[in-house]
Amino acid sequence: MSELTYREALNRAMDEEMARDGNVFIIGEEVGEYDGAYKVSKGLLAKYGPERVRDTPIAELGFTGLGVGAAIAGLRPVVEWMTHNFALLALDQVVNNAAKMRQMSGGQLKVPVVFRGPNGPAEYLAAQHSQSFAAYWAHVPGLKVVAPATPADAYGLLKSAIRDDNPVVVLEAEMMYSWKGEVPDHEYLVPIGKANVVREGSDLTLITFSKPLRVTLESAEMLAQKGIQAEVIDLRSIRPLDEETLYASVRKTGRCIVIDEAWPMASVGSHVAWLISKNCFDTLDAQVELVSGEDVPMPYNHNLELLAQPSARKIIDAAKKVLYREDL
Amino acid sequence: MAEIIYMTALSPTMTEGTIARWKKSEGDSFASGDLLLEVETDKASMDYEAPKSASLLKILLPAGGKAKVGDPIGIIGKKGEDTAGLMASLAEKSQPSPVPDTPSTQPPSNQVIQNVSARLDAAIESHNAKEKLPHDAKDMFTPVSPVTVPPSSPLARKLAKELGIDLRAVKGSGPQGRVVKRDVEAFAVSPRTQTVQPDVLVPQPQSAPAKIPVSGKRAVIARRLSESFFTAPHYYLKKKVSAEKLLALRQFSAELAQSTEKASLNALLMKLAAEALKRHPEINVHFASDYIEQFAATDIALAVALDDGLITPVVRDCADKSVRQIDTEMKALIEKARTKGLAPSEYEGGTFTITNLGSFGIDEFTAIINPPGSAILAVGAIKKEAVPQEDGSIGVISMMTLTLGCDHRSIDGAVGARFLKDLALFIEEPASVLL
Repeated sequence: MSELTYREALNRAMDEEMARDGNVFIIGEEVGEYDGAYKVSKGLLAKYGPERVRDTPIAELGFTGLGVGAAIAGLRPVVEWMTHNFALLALDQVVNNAAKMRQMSGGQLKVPVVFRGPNGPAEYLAAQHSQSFAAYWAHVPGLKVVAPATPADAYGLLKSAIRDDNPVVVLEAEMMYSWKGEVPDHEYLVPIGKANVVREGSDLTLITFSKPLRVTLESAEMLAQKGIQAEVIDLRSIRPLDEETLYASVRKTGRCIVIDEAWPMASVGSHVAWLISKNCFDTLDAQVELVSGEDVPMPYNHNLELLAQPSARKIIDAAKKVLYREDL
Repeated sequence: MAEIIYMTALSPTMTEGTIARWKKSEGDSFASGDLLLEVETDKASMDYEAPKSASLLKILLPAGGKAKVGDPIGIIGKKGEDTAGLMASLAEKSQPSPVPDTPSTQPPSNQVIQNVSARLDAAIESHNAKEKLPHDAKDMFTPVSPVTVPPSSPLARKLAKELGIDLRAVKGSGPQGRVVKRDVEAFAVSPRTQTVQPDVLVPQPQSAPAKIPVSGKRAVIARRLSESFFTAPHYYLKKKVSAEKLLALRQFSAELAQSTEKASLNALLMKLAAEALKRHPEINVHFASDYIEQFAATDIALAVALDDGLITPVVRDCADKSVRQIDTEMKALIEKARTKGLAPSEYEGGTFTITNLGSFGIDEFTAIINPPGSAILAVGAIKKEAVPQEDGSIGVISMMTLTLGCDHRSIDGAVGARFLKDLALFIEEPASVLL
């Protein structure tokens, strides 16, 4: 075990995969000479050369399309988006090409490309750069979407993503890059499509993914001090979704809160809440609650920016409702 | 699977019921919705319909027996099914078979003595158990009386089904009374011995105030009048009127019928009020928050005091009936209220109410509006008074005071005043109704 930052874990994953497979290469803005906008690709240009670590112009649609084409042609590109906010420009390549080619070619083509970069709010980035687009990608059949919340999962899921023969979107987070965690020294993969029960509990189920896992665990700790054992589940993989793990937990606890930092409407969180309501109906003792980002463009004011995001307090407030308790 | 059926709330206010008669015998089959038994409630005799198609396996509470809402009264299931298990579980829950509440001149049998002693033990035990519970948890032992199944969480429903608990007997602690898991669990472990009130059994100091149980009817009166008084902003208009011609008309009614029986004053007042309402439909209304309902009918309720509390029999369409007709109908209703009790359709839905305390010598008083109506007329005693006349002389005249209570949400002061002015005219000059 070593303690690595999230960015170091991603870096190690890419380094190992590039060493293992000569078809793996990195393409994106500032990934080479600058060592990555967030230093995720640090040292890889020096190690693998400009053929395999390609700096591009500021043209998301263009270099994302290059990645898709290269994947169809047999390479395994890792496309870095400086943030998912910028990836909106590349939506057409991802949705209409990467996600469709395998099905439209009757399986003759495969698109083993990885799109990765920070998603969701960070700090002081205001309305246009603080958005969580998990639902944008999760909406599209033909894509896989993963959202590692720990360095260990970042390493294991990115390696799985690179080896997957389908396009995989990796949701990272700027704030998480410097977060540290234990990562096994030996090589391993985290399978795509498996949720992780991060904390076991019997009284209610908290389901989340990506960065909000931290506030979710904080709230679980606060609840534990009141004698309430919350089970915390990290989705890790959004598409495909590990539904059985979620249902098993909710059928045990009878109560569920979904935490998603994206806007509430048509979000991954609201979809999961619906699945739970539908599939665990007879075992629910309360409505499924959703703690989401507030339904507003992100304010620049820092206090408002924090208030617009899920917090441990908001999760406790939702817990009051599903536990029918006022004293939390 | 055999299951217990419970006394359920057959009217919104019912808290307990007496079995009038079982319409099926043990062993009989029936379809869902069939009449299973008749239950006498606080105000009427109600039908208890079969909750599902099955057979009556066991009558736990025979005719004449009294049961609180939530108490078991019988066992239903597949024909010939064994009920021993359920009987045992009932006994386990300190749920002795209830004793019919009928007086008996015979000495109590051993069975009855055993039952009573078991009930005492259970009640004391339950009282002790309650003492250990947090304050609010105590409330969970009292079943509420919803007409239908209360809102409940899916898990609570599943659990109740598994435990064979009728959700209608469980009090919900969630939002809007939602029955949730903890309520079903609490109900399942509660001794449920409401047939005996533990409070009564605990020795009380001699000076302790007596606790008179609130009857079903008293609870309804309390709830309805509180609701009316605390939601409708009441105001009152008072007017003194001469009752001379009204009394003369009453006398004439007997002459006309060639009998000694005069039409009742209340019937006359109901007729005149109905005529006034016809001319002032804005008084004959119900305030329904987002709209005002104006009644087409003049259904007049009369407040009648019975030994066990107030009731308001309604004579429908008084404007279309003669005083005699109104009188006859009202007398029949009052008689029925005294003996058998009225059906809800006979005392509900008055669009206007008259209350008369004249026979007690009350000069004047204010009354609480009886919903759904928006106004109530309180009538005082007729007394001779010295009244200055137009010509300056003093006349001795039979006078009475009318006090009209109105709901200001639907009836403004001037509107109420116009009505009362016309009603006063009709009382002072009954012939003006014809003009």
